[in-house]
Amino acid sequence: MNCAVIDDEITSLEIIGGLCKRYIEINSVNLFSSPIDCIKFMNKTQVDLIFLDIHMPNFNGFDFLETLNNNNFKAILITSDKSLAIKAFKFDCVVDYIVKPIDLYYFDLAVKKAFSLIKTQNLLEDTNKKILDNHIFININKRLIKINFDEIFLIKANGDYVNILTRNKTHVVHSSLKSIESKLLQDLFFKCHRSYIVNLKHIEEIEENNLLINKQIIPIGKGVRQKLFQKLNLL
Amino acid sequence: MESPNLNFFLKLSNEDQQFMMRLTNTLKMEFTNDKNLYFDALAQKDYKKMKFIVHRIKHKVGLLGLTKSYNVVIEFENDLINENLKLKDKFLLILNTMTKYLEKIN
Repeated sequence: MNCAVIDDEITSLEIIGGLCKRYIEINSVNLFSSPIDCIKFMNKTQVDLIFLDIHMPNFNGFDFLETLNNNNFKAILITSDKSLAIKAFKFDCVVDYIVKPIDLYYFDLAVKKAFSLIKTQNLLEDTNKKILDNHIFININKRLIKINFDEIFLIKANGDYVNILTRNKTHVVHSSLKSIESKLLQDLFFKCHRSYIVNLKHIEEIEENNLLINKQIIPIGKGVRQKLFQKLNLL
Repeated sequence: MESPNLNFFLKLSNEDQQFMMRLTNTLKMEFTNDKNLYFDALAQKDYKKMKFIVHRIKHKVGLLGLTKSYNVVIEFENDLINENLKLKDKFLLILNTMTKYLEKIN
């Protein structure tokens, strides 16, 4: 996670910057005494979380938020002014409002709240993207063929290739199981064995350490049995 | 008058001496600068600038644990909106207390 701290007071920058270093989730902390410098930085680099002062000369914290209204970041406002909280929470990106001098307990709560929101947002975006991309293109004899996820029964490792079994045929594709796994919808597919990924929707039966899918018996790895059960709608 | 302290910085630095030293040095440097800006603004009767600097100093008053003084500074900051300098001397006293304390810190 990349963070930025914007405050015209160097003491505040040092304090907040120092506190940020306590969180392993934060990869980089970038300090700015002017919001304009941060905007320039954000034109080149993705920033996930911003600690923002409000009262700054020429261009204040609210000017900053208005300018970057559609940007994809969360903000924690840190100010000596108690009176601006209502205005602050009108901005969707504002997670929390902290009054200086910083109370370490409330700072920690605010940061953890921001982490949780950023995580959820990233997960949602990822899922939405995958739902929109409900298919995969595979390269067969220099032709790109579209296969909908729904059509796939299972994928089996086959040396340097994988066999993708669909309703009508089996496609042999030059890929690893790991590589294809990252392109699939995690909620729909499950790696039940080191050589097999199955479409959960098409599982017909499970008995001991095997499952039945499209009349084929597929082994279930010992270590993943419980995980598989968690993914199924069990009575 | 209440005495300034570095309790907040001690808690914040979590026994990291280097961080503690960086914080106190930055505070000393910035406070001296803010104080000069305040006196300049006062001499020019620039109330808007004065309010802005008092706001910055207010945070430093809080950082040094001066809770009662912090409330005085809030009041002074609000008074400056109406160009009212009635708390000017009290504010000066706070500045002097902070200056003396920060001078003692190595």
